[in-house]
Amino acid sequence: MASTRRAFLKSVACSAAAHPWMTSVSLAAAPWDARLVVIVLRGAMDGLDIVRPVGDPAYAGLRAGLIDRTGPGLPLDGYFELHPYLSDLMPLWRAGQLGFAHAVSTPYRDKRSHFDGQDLLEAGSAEPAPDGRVRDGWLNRLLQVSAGTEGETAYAIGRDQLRILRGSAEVAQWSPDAALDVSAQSRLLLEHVYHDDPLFRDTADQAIALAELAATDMDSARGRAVAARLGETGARRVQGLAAFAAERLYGDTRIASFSVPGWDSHRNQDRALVGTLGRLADVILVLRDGLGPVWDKTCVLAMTEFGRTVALNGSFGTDHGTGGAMLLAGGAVRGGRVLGDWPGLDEAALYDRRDLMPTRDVRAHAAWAMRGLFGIERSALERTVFPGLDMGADPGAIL
Amino acid sequence: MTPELKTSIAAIRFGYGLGPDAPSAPEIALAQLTAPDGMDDAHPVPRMDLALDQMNALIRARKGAKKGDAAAEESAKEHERALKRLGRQARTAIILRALDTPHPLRERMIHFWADHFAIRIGNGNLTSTLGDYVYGAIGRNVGGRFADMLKVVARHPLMLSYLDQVSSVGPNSPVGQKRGVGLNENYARELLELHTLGVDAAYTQRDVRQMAELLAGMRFSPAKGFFYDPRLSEPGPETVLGRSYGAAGPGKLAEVDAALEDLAIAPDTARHMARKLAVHFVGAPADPDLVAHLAGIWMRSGGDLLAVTAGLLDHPAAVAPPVGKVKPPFDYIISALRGLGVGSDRLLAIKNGLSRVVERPMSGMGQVPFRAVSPAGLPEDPAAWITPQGLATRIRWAMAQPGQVLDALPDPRDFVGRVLGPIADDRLVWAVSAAETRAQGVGLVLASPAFIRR
Repeated sequence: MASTRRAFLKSVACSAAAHPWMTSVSLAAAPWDARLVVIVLRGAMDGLDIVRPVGDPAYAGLRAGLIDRTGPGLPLDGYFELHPYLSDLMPLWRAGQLGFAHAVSTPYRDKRSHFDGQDLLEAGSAEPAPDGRVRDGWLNRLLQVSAGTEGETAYAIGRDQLRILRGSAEVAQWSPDAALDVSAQSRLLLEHVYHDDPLFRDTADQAIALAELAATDMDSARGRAVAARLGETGARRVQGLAAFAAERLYGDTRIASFSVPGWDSHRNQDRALVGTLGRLADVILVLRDGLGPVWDKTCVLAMTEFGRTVALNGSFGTDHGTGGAMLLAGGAVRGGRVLGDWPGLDEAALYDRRDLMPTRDVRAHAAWAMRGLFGIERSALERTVFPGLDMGADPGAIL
Repeated sequence: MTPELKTSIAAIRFGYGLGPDAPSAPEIALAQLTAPDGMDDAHPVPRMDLALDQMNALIRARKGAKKGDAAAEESAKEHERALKRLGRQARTAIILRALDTPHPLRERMIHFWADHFAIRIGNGNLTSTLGDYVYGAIGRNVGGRFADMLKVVARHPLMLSYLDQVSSVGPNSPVGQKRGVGLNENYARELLELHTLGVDAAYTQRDVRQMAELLAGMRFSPAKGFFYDPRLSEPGPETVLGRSYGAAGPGKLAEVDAALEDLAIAPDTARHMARKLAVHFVGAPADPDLVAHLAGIWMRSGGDLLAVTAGLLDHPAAVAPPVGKVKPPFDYIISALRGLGVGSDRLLAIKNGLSRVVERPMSGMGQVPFRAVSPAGLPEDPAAWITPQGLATRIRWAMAQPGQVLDALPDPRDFVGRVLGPIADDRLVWAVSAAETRAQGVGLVLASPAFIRR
């Protein structure tokens, strides 16, 4: 029996050479050189806590209980301060590679449901959609209006549904934790079983290639940064997603999206956000380190479904709100600024007398980023990518 | 083609795999779609009135909480948790029924029609009505008339809310005039395009608009459940596909029902449903003769789903090789567990078994049940499921999970025959015999195209 198995493995090994598991995933030229990463912050990030409007006279009174617990923020521009748990990002701010847009939101209002809010954020449509027909995601529609995109131009990363990239344009998808960690012998036997079924054979080839994707140049700091993070799993999994994104974007991928959950801080917000904020900072630094020189051409947008209440609730948390903040990072970003018209925190200035009043559609910032990075026509952005959006004036966030 | 091959293909295409309950003949359709299966008792789903009671209690408690009543606030939280539990109970029962049912054909048909009428549950209170949707609105009608299913679905809060009917108001209705609001066409359009006639049928934007006007007034509230609100209805009559419904003045629910009855037996609907059944259960491109056969039965029987299902099992194409479709993740995991002899008792005995063995792997394979990515439902194209991530997750499941749910794995050489019979190909049989361990052998069977396809 044993000798039969050895003979079999030998024969399979020969055919494996003819049909290598490690086919290189084909990389074709992409239509642009700039890179865009969209991070979906699921759970509704409290923009007022992350980018604190300490210059607003009402802020301290509203948020004193929370500030006592976290300690004071880190000064940004004299009016706003950064959440102290994001201190690792301060060097980026000082280098002009980190900025924020404040008092922004999608057109979603009033119902404050995470699922509906995220659906609308990813669909990029207005609410209510004229006939409810926006079924695909806005990043997919960006591909639809761009000539010369390929299957690997855009990557949906992780196990999320990521509707933001769903649609008729082809996108690649992979979750680094889907690694095919089966024994070498299982692999050979699987290849034997898949041999006559091209769909299974070719897909397994790709899965193996992706699972074994390693940093391409271990001699560089960039490659080592990717390698160190690729295998991260468990609660630290998002860093693995970022490392995988960086490796793909370093190659021929131009757009990547993944999500960072954990923002729904109804109770003890200081503790609820320790891990989440740490992961967000980490993810951005992993992207920077993993992209190496490509970081200079990169814009990272981190967006959430809606903001949270201006006042704390009874359990040192915040409830679902409306206006919030968006994060921009990367070498292609003109950072070091907090963009937006500040509506104020007086009760009369609030939305519904409870939430930060949105003064700009968050989609306008995303649209201007795509205009700046990829040169997409304004008409395509306003009609197709974000149907019905008025982009307004250019905030000048892209270098 | 041997009789054994036919029976095996029928069991895989119309059930959850080989076994004593495999559906293989028209008389089985009759028995499995209409005879009691014991599942209502074994794995009950929450009834609609239970969900409504909790929603109403929640509304009352919230009112109290707004006035600063601390006990009411606590009670509101309890009702929210209770509503979540009802949704959880339904999602659990859906898995356990598929595992345990002696009538797999019925369960497959329920899932087919529930996907035809795809909805998207969130984390909201309406999720508590999921059990009623799947086993009430859909399940009670899988052996009955399509028109009845269409009418109950049109009244269900999950459909009314998913396709935005709840925000549609007749522009010339009293409420529309007063508030200056109007129609949302979403449900009307999907009703024609996806639920009945099909996108290639001869209808126009005007029909969509008229259908939306007809539907205005369909509403749901926790206090009343489903109701028709004439103050929202567009004054009639409306003309859909050349037929006029209603008269001047406020609309009536009977007019909506009359239009749905007509849509259910329109020739375009018959062809659309026939093609969809053929593609889902047999394969694409649909066999033209099978489509004509099913559409004919649909028209002659007035959309009787029992007759149509029997006609599907009866047709030679239904059991003709090759097995080319790919089981969606839910069907894949259920058929693997049933093949391993794992029933609900065993699954529930495993710590976090539902989530670890079924739900999380399913989402890695690309399917989150009842969270449709589009109103069109699940993709039928094999390539939509066999992606690098989807296949890798299936392979990992196949290699690792059987050993987690069973104390003793079967001999893979017996297992391959038991779950695949004559469908197992020589390469698979050979690889299984060359496996190093039982886990590897069983994993090869469950990861094979022969098992994943149908």
